[in-house]
Amino acid sequence: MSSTFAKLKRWFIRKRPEDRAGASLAPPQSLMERYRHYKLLLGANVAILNILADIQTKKSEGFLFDMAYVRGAVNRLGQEVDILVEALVGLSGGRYRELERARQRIAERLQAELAVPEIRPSPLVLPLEEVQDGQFFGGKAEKLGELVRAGFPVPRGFAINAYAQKLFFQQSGLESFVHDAIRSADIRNLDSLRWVEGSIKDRLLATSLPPTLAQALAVAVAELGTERLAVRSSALQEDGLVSFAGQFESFLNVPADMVARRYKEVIASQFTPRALYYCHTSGFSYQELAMGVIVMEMVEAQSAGVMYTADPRNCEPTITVNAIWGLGSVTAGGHAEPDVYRVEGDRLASTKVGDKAHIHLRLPEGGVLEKETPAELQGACLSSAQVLELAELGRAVEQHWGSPQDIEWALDSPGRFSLLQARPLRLTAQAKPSYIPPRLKGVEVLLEQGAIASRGARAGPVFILTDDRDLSRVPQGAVLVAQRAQPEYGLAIGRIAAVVCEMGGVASHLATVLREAGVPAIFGAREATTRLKTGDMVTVDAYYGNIYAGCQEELLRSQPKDLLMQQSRAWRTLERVQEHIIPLNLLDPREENFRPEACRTYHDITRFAHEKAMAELFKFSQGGNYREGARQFKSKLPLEIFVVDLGGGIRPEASESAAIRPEDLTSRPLAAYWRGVEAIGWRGARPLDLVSFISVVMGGASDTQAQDRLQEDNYVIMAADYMNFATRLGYHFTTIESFLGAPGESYITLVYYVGGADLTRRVRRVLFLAKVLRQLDFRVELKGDSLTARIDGYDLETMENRLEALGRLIMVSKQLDMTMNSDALIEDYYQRFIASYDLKV
Amino acid sequence: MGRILAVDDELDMLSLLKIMVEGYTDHQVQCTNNPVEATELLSEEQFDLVISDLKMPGMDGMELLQVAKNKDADLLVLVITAYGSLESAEEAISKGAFDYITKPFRKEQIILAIDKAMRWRELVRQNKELKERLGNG
Repeated sequence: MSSTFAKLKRWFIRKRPEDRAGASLAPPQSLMERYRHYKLLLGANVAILNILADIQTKKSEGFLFDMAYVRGAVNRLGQEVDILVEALVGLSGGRYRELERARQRIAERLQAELAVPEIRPSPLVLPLEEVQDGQFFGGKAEKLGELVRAGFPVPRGFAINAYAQKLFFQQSGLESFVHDAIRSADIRNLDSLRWVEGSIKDRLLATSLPPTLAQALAVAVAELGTERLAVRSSALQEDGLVSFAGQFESFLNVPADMVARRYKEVIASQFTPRALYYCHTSGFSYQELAMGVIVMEMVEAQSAGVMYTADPRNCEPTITVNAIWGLGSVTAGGHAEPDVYRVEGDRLASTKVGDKAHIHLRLPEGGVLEKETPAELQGACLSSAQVLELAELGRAVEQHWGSPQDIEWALDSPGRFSLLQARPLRLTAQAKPSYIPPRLKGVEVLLEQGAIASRGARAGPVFILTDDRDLSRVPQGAVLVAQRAQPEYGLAIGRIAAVVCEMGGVASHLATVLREAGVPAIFGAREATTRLKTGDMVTVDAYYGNIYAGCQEELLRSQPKDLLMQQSRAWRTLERVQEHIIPLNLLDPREENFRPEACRTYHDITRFAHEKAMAELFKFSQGGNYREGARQFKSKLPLEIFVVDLGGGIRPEASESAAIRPEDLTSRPLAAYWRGVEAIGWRGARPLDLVSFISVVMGGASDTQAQDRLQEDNYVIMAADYMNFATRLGYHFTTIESFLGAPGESYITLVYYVGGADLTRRVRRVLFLAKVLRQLDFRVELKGDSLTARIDGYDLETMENRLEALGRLIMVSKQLDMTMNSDALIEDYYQRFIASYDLKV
Repeated sequence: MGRILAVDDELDMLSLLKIMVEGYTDHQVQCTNNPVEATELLSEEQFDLVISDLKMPGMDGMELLQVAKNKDADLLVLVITAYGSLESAEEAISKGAFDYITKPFRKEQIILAIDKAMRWRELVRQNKELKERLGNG
């Protein structure tokens, strides 16, 4: 009894809020600060998801975007993720610092993908077989190096590093000369640009190579031990400034002692008026204007040409070989019409012999002679056996690189083929996408006007997901139909044909994940879960937002991919960077990997931060003592409630008042909830009359948590869009938290624990509550006699309705456990409550 | 098949325009990043259409438009402008640009705009020819 007395004493002597006359109405600073972090986080979350959606749309809907777009998107994302992470760290009181490290790692990877690598000291010269990617020898040299290593016939040779040019410029004073010359150019005057071009070239050719470079070149040439060489450019970026600016010099049949001179001429050929115009506005950089150079043994070519290992218009595996007599250099100039051979499978399908009027031959003193083709060189350059041999070589190269190739080749006098260059085939056109009608005729439309969350069309049997726990039961090839767009549904990718949700934003986590996986999806398909039936075959048209009965073949024909766009630097860069941005690995908060260390993409970070933010704010709102800044909330109910307004929760007229009434509320969630509470009103005994109070204290004596709860006041922390209502109604304790913002952000959570009656009755009560809450679309978790429930993803109106219903439910459940003396009452109460949103016992 | 001159100081956009237009249409695209070079190309060669960015260093698209129109009043100019700078696009139209599209744009948009311009050019040509015939008759 003495312990009961101690408890009673504690209860009566504790400080009551109304004792604090004249206290400040300003909410506690710490709480305001956390809430500010929370709002910042929500804003960043929406901004990030919108940028992710924008990136995916740019790629999937045929936009022309450039590197400025890619850099801009990555920068904006970086800024928003910064805000997001900082906000979570602030909100959690520093708990999630590890997320900062994850963000840092991802940002560094992105910067590395976007950076044009600085040309660093590297070997000046390397034999072709030792040239590898990323060493600044240029794409052409790197590919030849790989071909040599793979055993393809490539003439012997070496490559000169772009760093050699940098060294040359820096050691000879050319660098400052080029800078000054570019700065002095008048970009409004083409003649001025041409004059600068001329002066740079003259100066460059008149400047000696540094001894180290000259020597390295001489040694490499000597080691080749051949009299005649070819000197060719090898640009660092295939579609960078250098390749855009124009044609570069390439020299055939160069005598060994002229290699250094030709090298300088190749380098000089970059400084075109276009390049100088660009540099005048963007600055000169070696990354843009430096190149590798290839020096190869000259092939004694009797014929030469190019070969495409696929048809560039449609990617069909037909091999086309062009051939002319001699060195092959005439083709580019167009002074000879080449032979054209087409190979299909292992047979020569057609031969068209061209009028090869001119031929390039090697001059004994070096250089090339163009002359009329001699009479003895008539007819086709290649025999059909040679064409087939070459085609086989082409196929092997294509197989080695895994994509169609554009190959330069030469055939020497003994009849051996050499490969002089290989690069990915540039596709010139493609089949036009087939027309998709906005509405199929003569077909039953089951649903229409949904929002396109992920473009495409697929058919499959419907699977209505009513309980998220059934996700693993979704059959292979099904169309997943659900009310909300939950990120966890991403776990079913691989099994599902398409997704249809009644709610959900096109910039939600799930939409992003589905677009990434190419699974068509329609969100906002009202009544989808009631109008579609599990097992029915449907076609989801996520081009126009319709769902048709049956399998509609017309829609299912696959649309050709935009291969042209995919060749651009911006596209390829975006492909690489989005690997660090878009995939979502943290699908399920219950899984072990749902932690900062496992975040590999910005999307992971965003998902993690958003999920944890709600928990953190809840925890903080619960854990504090917020008497400071609290006002009394006066209602018809015999309840002592104190509210803390974080901003916008009270109408301005009442803002100076220490006591407010329900009609003063402008907090959307609290107003909705309170409507439900007032609709039921207070029934039964006043709270905390002495008898029931003692019985509760005694009943809960073994539960110290219950004791502590009893000593709390009813507090609401609220804002225009937020409430956290911790309340004691009779002998049960509930905390309801809600944020009503954008549809993707809004949620209601309910935590409900320990009442006064015996355990069995209390469990019956939570079973009743769970049944109702599930009917109201909450996800419910039960643990003994306590319960947590959550709802999100719905529009504002629905959420307000749910809050009101929750207000009613909480009020009718007050002391309900006392009456629950049989299991049958669970179903009985449930039916009665659902019928009228009221329950009188 | 027509000849198009594309002018944009952003190299990526320029090469992309060339790839896309040549890939999806029969037209040939000549590119330059320097609007001053564009004026020189205009005086040396015949083009059916100029596609030009509006904001470029040295000489902006509006000035290039004037040069093009002075040279050949029938030459069509399609202006590309950044999203959010519609005033300048409208100004370009008032100064004789045939049409404008805003960045970023879909490939269909640019291809349709080009088709429209080319058909218009053909109509103007036919119209002139018919008038001349009537005048001669």
